[in-house]
Amino acid sequence: MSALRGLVPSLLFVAGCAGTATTRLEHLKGTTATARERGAYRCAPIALARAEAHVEFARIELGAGELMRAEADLDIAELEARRALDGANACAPLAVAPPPVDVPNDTDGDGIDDKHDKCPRDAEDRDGWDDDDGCPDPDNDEDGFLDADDRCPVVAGVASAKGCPDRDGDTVGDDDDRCPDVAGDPAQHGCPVPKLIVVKDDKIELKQKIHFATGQAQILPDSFPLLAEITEALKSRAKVKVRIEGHTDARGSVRLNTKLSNARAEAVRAHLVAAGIEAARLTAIGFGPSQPIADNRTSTGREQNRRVEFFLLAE
Amino acid sequence: MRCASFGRVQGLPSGLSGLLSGLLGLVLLTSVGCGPASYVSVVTREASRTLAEAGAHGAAQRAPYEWTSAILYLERARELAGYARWQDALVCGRRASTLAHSLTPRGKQP
Repeated sequence: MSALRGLVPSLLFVAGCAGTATTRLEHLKGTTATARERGAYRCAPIALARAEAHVEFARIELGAGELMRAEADLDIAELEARRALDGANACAPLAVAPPPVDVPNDTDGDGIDDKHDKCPRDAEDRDGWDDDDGCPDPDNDEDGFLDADDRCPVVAGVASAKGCPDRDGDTVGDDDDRCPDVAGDPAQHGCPVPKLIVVKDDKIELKQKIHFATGQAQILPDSFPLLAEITEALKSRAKVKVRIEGHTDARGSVRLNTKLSNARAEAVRAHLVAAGIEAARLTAIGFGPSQPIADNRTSTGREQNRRVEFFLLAE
Repeated sequence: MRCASFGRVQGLPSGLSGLLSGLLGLVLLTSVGCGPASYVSVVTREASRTLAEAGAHGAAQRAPYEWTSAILYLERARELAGYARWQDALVCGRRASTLAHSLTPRGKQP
């Protein structure tokens, strides 16, 4: 009986310790759960693993009545749970929400905030024409030709020239028209089809002669259309330089003929300059009778020898 | 632990006596407690082998939580087996095995 009386305090002591261990166990379960919720699995995985494992070991040991071993596991679990919690708190995202940012609202996604977009539902086309208003400009020059089909999208033009301006109305746009002020043929780059001349690589061949007053350097009016064609031909070849040669037949003195041929070449040059050809592109020279192309003994031959020639120099 | 220790059977030829002793030992071995011991041993060996395979594939760096847990459970299983606490050792061993399998490239469960 006395032995039983001695055993009671011991049993009470053991029961008290077991109760304390169970309480610690439950507390540590809560701590490890909190650490996991706060991100310990990502931030402190090893500490969390050790804490949770030793909590489980403590539970097993308590179930087996191994109080001392359970306490040892609880000690380790407590230490590791604290480490896991500290690790989670150190790397968890801030709970404080960042200040609100005024996020631009751009319904049509053209990079212009709806507040400043005149066409919030239609995206700006960003084609370099009025790109700040937020509205697309399908026909920049408003000539009725949509930009996609308009060869001159920022210059108003006409349909016949595919949206480009065409002053002479020959369907060749001014930018491509070598004769923008004279209606011409598209095959001739907008210039008239020559009737009185033939432009070759090295010269302009004349289908009729330039007529002068007899013994003078005055150009007769019937040659003006011919000179007009020459003028247009030279305007369409802006970089070509021309040598204008005057020739006579062999009648009369060489000195006078040379002087006359020179004066007639100069007269032609002056006419072309007056018509708009740069003077620097034109040189005039008279050869007199020195370079005949036909027999001076016949009237036909002499007629052929009296001539003005146009030689094209390299561009 | 020593599970089988048998003396010679009296009155029989020594060869037959040895054979009977062996059979008896085998029967006792599987019926009085060394069955769980063998089973726990199989579980922990299998977990250990799987864990080694996972470790070779960088499991410690890739999944530190699972790796650490598997190691701890395996150690505890061996420790409890040493105290002949088969049931608890088996719980820890199976847990170690499950974790180890989750760490292998195949990720298969046992």
